[in-house]
Amino acid sequence: MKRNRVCLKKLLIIPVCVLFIFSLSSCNATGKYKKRDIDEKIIVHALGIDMTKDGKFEVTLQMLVQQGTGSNTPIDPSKANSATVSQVAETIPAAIEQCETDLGKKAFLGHSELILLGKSVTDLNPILDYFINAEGISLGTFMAYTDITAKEILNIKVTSGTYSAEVLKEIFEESQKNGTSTECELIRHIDNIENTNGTTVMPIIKKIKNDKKSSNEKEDSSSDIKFGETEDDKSKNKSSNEKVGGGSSGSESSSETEGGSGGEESGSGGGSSEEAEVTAFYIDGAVIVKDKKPKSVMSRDEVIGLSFLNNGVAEQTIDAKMGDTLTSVSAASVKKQTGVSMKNDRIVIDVNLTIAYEFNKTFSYKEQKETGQKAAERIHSLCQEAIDKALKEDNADIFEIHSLLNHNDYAVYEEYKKNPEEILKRVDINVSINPQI
Amino acid sequence: MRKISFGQMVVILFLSRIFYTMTFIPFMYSDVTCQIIGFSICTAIECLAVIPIIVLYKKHPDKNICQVIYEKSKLLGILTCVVFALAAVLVINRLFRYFGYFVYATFPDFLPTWLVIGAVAAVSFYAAFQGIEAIARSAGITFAFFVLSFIIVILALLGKMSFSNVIYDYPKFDDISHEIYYEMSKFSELLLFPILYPYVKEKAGKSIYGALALKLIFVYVITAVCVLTLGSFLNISKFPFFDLGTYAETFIIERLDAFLLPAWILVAFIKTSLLLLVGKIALSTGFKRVKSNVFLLVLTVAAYAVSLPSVLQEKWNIGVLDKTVITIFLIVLGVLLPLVFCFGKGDENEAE
Repeated sequence: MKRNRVCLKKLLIIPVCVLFIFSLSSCNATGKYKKRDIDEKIIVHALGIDMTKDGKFEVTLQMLVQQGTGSNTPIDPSKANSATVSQVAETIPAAIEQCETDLGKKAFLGHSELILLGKSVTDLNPILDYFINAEGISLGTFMAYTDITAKEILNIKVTSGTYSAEVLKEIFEESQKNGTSTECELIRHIDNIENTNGTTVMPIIKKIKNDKKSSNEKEDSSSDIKFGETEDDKSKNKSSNEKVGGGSSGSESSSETEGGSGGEESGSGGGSSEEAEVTAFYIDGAVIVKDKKPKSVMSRDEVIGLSFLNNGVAEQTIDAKMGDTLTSVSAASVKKQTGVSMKNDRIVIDVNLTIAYEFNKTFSYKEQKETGQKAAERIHSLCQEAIDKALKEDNADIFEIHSLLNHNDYAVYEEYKKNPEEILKRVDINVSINPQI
Repeated sequence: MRKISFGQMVVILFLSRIFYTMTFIPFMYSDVTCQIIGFSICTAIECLAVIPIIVLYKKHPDKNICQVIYEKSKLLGILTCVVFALAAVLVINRLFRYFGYFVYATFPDFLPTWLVIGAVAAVSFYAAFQGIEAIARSAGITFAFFVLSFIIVILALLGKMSFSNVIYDYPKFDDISHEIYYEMSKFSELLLFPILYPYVKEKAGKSIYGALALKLIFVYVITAVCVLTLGSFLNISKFPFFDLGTYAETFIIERLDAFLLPAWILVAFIKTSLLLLVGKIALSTGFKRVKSNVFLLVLTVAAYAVSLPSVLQEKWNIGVLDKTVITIFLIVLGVLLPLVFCFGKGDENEAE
């Protein structure tokens, strides 16, 4: 008994250890290690990155409005719950630092859910370099493109959900389930780029305009978008407050803070006329990134085909045309089998998809079989579209070809590492679909 | 003499090794295929390398290696004791630099690194002052916490694992031999076991094999989870083990790195305490007139003082010291000396 007590006393070293180390954290009140309360930090939920005409980075931070009371809190669902701040600088960290200076608070990126790239972003190199080494950033953060500027998307006031970035993330998650969005976690992009000499594919998020003329009209189709071009002055948010020479570095800067406290604030009316029109976002297509640069845009159908090929579809509704009537079929479960073989110097990848369907109508067995066959043809054409676009047209490895070669034919994989372009030209992907009723 | 159980000894030795699996990767040399092959070969070598110590333990179950040598030659005994203490200080120095780098890279604005290292040194001093029993019990709790947090992280990551993330390279002989050499330098059990085996109640000889088996299982599991989850990000990650926690999320908690962080701190603390204790036991064997706690204080101050310049200059990796010098110390103290002194007549109460 006595011995146990002694042991228990000795065990006190653990709480003593924890207490000792963490109590030291409150000792230093100045300089680099100055302690900050939670309200002295900007909890960043989303980051937007755009490129200016002169090649500088415009970084937009979206954060939760932190006021405890008032109409600007998440408690009032009719009011927006996020604020944004933007700055322009030569590098991303410098722009973030200027945002911090403006607000008088330290930015905390550990809760970031989304990194949004404006269509003006031409080179992912500095962006990935920053995020790989950024302190505390989660590897599960979503990274995607937008067809306008990231700043515009993040400035949109969403009145549903706890905060705007959460709504955007949910849209991505839902789109990934039904295959309309590709995988977009930061780690997956880094992984793809590492394995394929800079190739990945990023979904594009767009805003739905709620015009008076047509309530759910979507914006221009993705085929008209040219990524890698900087925005015209006209498309910039005219109502944002600009100040030149802000921040300590004296670089060109444009700052907009809405609802933030401390620092130099501007009113929240910036861009309000446009913001009021927008009610929702949607994912439409994806950008193929090659050599860490945006190369071309995939359509929505091509992305669905890609998702089927990469086993990324959990549930997708397929339209099957039966005579004159259009029927919807749900691809409820997709199983993928792949094989790699060499035929006359061609690398043949056979993809066999076994898809189980769920029908939204009562059908006879014969009708089910026919509908399933039609749906399989539709899926096959979607897959073929994706292959034609990415592999034949852009010669881009977004089908995990590197991984298949690595697992199946190491000699070819070694060649792939040396010269991926040449190997990809020799690849044929054959898709066969086995519908299960 | 207060003794610890077989299980506690296994856990102590295991924790002293697993620290490097959490930390060593920042300075890794080759890809994961070579690392795992090198690790497997090195573990087989380690199984052979501990045989002389086990023979020594069988012959002198109640005397540590310093006592055995001291009884045969006073001068050599004193020299051995000093070298053991010196090796302990060097290994602590490496541990402080690696742990300092982790704090510096992961929480740069949290606390000055020298202060964190100082705190670990101070707490470890207290633990070593309390003795082997307190360290062993703390190690038990730390092990349970480590396993629990790791299981939670694995469960959270199950949905994110994919075989398509596995990209392997054909191993090269140079890379594998380097990995074996590097792995050997991390085998600080060779320093701990010859001093600590008299403190084990029973089956001390088997405890080191238990620790090696546990190490083998955990390193394989950690490597598999890292490769299946992180894919090629592993090649550029500073702390893959910690990144697992950053990537893991549940319905309630967005990221689980906070689960792994306390385990990291506790493992560093347990390992430092053990090394301080080993240094103290070694010196008090050679210099019986001086109180053992004086040595403990001297060792703590020395280890901290030696580490401080590197920490202040942010010089986290010292290749020659970390690999060559420490490996030589480990082989001399943990293999060659036991090999020389395991022959001859044993004590009356030889272990079965």
